[in-house]
Amino acid sequence: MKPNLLLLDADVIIHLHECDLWKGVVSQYSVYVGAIVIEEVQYFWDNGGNKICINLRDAVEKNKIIEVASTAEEMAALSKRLKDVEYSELDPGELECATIIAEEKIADLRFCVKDGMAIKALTYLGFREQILSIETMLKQKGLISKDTEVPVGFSEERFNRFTLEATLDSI
Amino acid sequence: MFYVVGGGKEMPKLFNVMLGNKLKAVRDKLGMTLEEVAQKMGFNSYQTLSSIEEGRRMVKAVELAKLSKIYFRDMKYFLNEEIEQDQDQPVLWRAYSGDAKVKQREGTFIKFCEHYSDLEFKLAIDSKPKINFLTWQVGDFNYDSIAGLANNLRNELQLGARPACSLAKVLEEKCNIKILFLDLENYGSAASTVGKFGAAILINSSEPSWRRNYDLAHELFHIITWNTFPYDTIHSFAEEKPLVEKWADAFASYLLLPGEEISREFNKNVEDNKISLLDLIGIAREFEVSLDALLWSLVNLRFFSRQIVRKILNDPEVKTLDFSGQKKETTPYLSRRYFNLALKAYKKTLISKGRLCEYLNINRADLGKILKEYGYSVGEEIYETKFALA
Repeated sequence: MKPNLLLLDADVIIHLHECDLWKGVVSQYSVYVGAIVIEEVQYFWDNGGNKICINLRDAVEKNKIIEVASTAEEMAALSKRLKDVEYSELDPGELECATIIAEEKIADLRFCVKDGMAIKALTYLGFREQILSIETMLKQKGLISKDTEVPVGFSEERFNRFTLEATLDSI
Repeated sequence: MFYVVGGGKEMPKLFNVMLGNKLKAVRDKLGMTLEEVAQKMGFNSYQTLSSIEEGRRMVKAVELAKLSKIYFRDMKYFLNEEIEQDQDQPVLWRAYSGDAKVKQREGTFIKFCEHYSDLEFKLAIDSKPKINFLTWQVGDFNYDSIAGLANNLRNELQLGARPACSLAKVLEEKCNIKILFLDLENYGSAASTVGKFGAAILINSSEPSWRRNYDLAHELFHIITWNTFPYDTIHSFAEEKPLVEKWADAFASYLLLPGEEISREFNKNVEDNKISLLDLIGIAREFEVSLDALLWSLVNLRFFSRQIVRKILNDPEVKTLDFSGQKKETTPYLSRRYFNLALKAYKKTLISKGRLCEYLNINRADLGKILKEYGYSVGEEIYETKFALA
């Protein structure tokens, strides 16, 4: 059985397409994507400067990924929990996914995040153990070899820096 | 969770009622109909939206995200019960067309002002305008006093001999006046406002540079006289140009065309007591103003009579000449200052990358390209690197 993985921000999905790793991730994980992110991710630019369409709605319809959603009221409740911390400025797509996590709508869920503020917000909310960096998510399933050097934005090191900052902030 | 219950029949949830009220108020303010918005949302019937506004239907997060975009609002405005419905922010339009689409441009403008001020707040920068608002009485205004005002301001702001070339940058960076360039098509040429976010000017990006410079100077007059001339006394549909508008034009002309400099350039080009049309256009380009503005300034400086200027300007060939070679520059929609503030807030993890893209009004996939356009030519993560000082 494939592990459940929520791809929290649009950036992760765009980068996975850019690096041609999307199909691999979908084959190794049960991929969950928030409804807002599905609307938000529309295209990416390949190395040759060509605009390539991404159709996540089609992927949902073909059961390749699973759409998850929350309500405005649930999002408002989570916003309240984050309002006193400086990293409350998540975008709507991230906020919806954070709501899904906070409401514990899916069992045994891990989530992959790239955005620094989203990593901090989820750590602050107590979900540090369930978050994966892109590097870990890819290496764990052998989608890239263990000694591959990943871009800074994907790295476990950068990810750890943000979680540490959020942990220190919450003390 | 708190529910209101009555008469054995379940009533709408308080949250949905609050949200519905806000959504309706914003839609009304923008002059949009239920049908129009329902169509944009992809609802089968306007009744779905009507139910949402009455608080009888739960709103999905994805629907609220879409509505926020249609209404030019941040989602947090709708989510946060503590943010009350806002008051109308007065926006003074130049050449107001009265079209409903103007309201939507206005929405974009106000959202930009709020984002700008949010960024300043997050980065602990004072958003108050650093410019003196005039305390004159209406009776103090005449063409001489306005000329003095423009001259003093030009010196104070150190705009130099070619004021139009540096005006936008000085207003933003020195005076803290927010400037947005937006394609207004035919719905108006410029606008200004002063609110809790500070002072801001909206310029039509589709106009040629000389027109934009003039509009900027014109709107600056409205900003500094914001407390003297109440917004509703200027904002009129009257066919005749209000006196305040004429004063604002005069101010723009005095500010952008310093008498001494104009006289020097003019005299350099005079031969046998005559000057060619080509040279006049050359001077206008040098000062980044229209031929119109230059000629009227030359009337004030007594180089030409009004009659001659009218004759020149009525010549259709002159109009063609003045416009020819005047390429419409692609002015960035957002200023460099705003862009830098947004990027800085992101790098300090004060906003997420998604929010950065919202602030810059771009699709996430385009961020790399936009960074390049603004001179940041490598992947954005590199900017997280910090260097120790020696």
